[in-house]
Amino acid sequence: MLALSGAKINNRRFSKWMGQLDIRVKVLTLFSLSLSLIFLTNPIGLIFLGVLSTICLFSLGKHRMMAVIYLLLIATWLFSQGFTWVLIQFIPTMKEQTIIQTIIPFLRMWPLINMALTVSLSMEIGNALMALKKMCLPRIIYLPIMVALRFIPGFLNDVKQLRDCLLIRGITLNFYALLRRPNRTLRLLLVPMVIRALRLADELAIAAELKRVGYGEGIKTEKICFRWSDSTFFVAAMLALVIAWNIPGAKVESGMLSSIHKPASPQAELESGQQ
Amino acid sequence: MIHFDNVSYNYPYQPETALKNINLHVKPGEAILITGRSGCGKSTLGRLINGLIPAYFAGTLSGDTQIDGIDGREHSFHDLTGIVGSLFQDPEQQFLSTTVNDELRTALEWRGYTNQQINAALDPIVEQLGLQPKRGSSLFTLSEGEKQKVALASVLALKPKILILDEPTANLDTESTQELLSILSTLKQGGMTIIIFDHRLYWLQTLVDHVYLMENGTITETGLFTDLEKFRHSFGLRSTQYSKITVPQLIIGQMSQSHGLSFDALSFAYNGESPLFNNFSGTLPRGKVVAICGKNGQGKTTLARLSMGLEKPASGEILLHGVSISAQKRLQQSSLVLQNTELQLYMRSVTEELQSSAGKAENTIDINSILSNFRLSGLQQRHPQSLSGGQRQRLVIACALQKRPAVLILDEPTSGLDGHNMELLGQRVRAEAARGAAVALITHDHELINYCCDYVWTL
Amino acid sequence: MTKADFKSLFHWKTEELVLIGTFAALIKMVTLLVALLGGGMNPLTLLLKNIVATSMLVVLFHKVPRTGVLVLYVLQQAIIMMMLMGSGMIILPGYLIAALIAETIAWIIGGYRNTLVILFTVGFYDLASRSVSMGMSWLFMRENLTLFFAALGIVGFGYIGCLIGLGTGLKFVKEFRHAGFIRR
Repeated sequence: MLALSGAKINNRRFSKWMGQLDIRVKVLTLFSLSLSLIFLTNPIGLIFLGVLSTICLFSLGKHRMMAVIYLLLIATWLFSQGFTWVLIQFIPTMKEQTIIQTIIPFLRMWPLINMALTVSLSMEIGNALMALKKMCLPRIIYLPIMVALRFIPGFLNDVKQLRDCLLIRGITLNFYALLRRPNRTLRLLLVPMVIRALRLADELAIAAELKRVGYGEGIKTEKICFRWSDSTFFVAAMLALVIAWNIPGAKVESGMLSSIHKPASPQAELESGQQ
Repeated sequence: MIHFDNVSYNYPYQPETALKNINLHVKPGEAILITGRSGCGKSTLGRLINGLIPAYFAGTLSGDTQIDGIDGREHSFHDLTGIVGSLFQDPEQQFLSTTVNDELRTALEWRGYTNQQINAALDPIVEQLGLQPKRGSSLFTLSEGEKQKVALASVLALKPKILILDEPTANLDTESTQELLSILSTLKQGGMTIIIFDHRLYWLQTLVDHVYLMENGTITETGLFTDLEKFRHSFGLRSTQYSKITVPQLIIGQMSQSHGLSFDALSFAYNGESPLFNNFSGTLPRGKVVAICGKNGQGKTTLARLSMGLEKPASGEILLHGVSISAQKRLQQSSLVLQNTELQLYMRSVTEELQSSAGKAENTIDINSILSNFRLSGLQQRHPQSLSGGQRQRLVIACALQKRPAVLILDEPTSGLDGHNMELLGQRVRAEAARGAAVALITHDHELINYCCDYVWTL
Repeated sequence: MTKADFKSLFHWKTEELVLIGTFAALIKMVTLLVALLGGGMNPLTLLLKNIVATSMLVVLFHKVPRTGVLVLYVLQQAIIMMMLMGSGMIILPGYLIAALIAETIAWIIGGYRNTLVILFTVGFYDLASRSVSMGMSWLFMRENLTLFFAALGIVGFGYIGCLIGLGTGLKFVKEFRHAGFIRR
């Protein structure tokens, strides 16, 4: 994402620290978090994870981007509330859905988005490439990813050049152009970019062949070893998950069960987790 | 070191033979030049020497090929990549990493070298090429000359016996070319066999022992460097002598602001960087061709972008024929041709491309005569992206002219062009100036400057 | 499938792998660019994003017409997403299963030498992967069904873009063939 945004390298200490973490640790942490979030229904546990992950994301210093994403989440929630109101007009049984039920999916997405952003905003292409080497992946997986990551910085530059070239021809690439002439705009964007990619792929393939990337005895220089920071991060993350699972709180039932099949009663409302 | 006897080669799906009856004999420690018009088969011959043909490019290969005393077909490609090192025209397309250090190590790492072995192989080369201060840098921040040194160092680390260089000076300024020459001379003294494919010839006088001239896929002439002069016209070669710039310098204030594109007290800096232009003034005169020269990072491309209206100055004015006009209007009245031709062609056929470039201009365009002027006749229905590099470049320039721009700027227009095409470009540019356009060429090609420019503007 | 056929599934030319990697990155980047140009979530952007992704996938299949290309592509995209955007790992097994089913059907009905098989495979994979996404969405949104239905509507609308993309993909293939970039 840092590479995608073309932004300058974030010099904050936490960002650097996150950037240097072993990629496998990050992948495993995100995977465990995603898995836990699917099954965790306790809002208190979810809020706990949300707050912790927000602190992580906040420490990166990308506050503007954070604000935009949070606003987007709020807008989606409002949209879903509006949509609920429309559905209620047609399916009266849906009235039973409680506020907490409408919020739970967002509570579940909140820590996930925070952590995904924390990982991506602290990632640099060079480090990602190094991390790939460390993973000792087979050639059919390593080679395409290596090329893909290597391709991205050049691609961003090409897009800028393409935009300039089109401007000189009197063509602007923007939403209005996309709306007015979607066919032509897509063509102007796609044809040069795909052809550029095909030519570059040819050159990169030749370079990879000449350097014998993915062949031979394999890499002996990159040792697989975790540093203390990797272990600290992973242990802390797992500890947070354990706490989130064991924190006391209410259990919220799935919307389908409570909204459609269950009769509406004060008791049911209590069970469905309205706090 | 290299013995090719009656070698012919056909690419798959191509009706025409790419190489015909090639006979090439190169001794160890020899440096040779292989040149000829664009599309004469030089690149294919290079691919045959470095083993990409037949290992990577399938097709039909016949004749005897011997590299380093072993039959080409008996060499495994893996071994051959250790014997023959290849340097591409654009070093950036050879990079598989994003940092200098990582790039230098890549080929060695994949050959199973340990850290100690890698350092032992790299350290002397890095020192020889003066790359030590750049070892931790990102590849994307390097100058063209530095990128080429990194690519060369990563090739030399494998200790090849033969070094192939494909148009190594196409993107280099005079200083970097001299530096490359000095490196290659040292390598030659060390016993390395060097094969250079290039259009620019002047810099090779003291380096090469033999020259080979190619035409239509075959070697038709061989000789010494001094023999090249007599083949210049028939093979469309560039000059064999170093050309000192003979055109006058553009003096600030010399030109009237009412005729041409003028910069008045211009200041500009990219976000968070030190200013490139501070109270900068000058004029690109109407009806003249000006070469914009200067080292990397001096702001040549930025000046072009400011002229076009693609960048906004922090302060100052840009005037066209004495009148201050908006960036949008400047954009409408100017044309800029960049090096990367793929990103400047969008249509399904050459005819469509030219028609779309003319846009809503009132002038009707005579496609046939435009194509004839640019030596593109007969290509009306071809897809623009299917043309060769030289043809694409000529088409992009032809398209830029359809707008009848008041200001025309070309960025490194002769990179990779042979002598004939360089002259053609010079003639078109002069014709455009004669029509009344203010023309600027961002270039360090002295031969082109002397051929068609009226002034040199050094930033 | 003979033993040799099975072995050949794991033997890929550098050129093919590089193309898959380049397209995985290109598709991700161009769809992001279209989303940026379109100003985020709106129906037109959604449609165009899917048209672009499917069209380019059709082009990739014509460049590398062999069994396994979809599985490799899906794997690459997931890893790129993971490394650059920190997401996509949890849904990868589902996508891989969808890709494997699509590849198996394609292999049974004659392989990618036939353009119709390519179109069917891409269309089927787009549908199957969307079903997997919806399954995942249900797991995340099960307490709020309206949100789930809204997501279902958006994804369903996006699939119309995929179907259009099959047609535009073929048009691009025709053009790239005319330009000499696709040779069959």
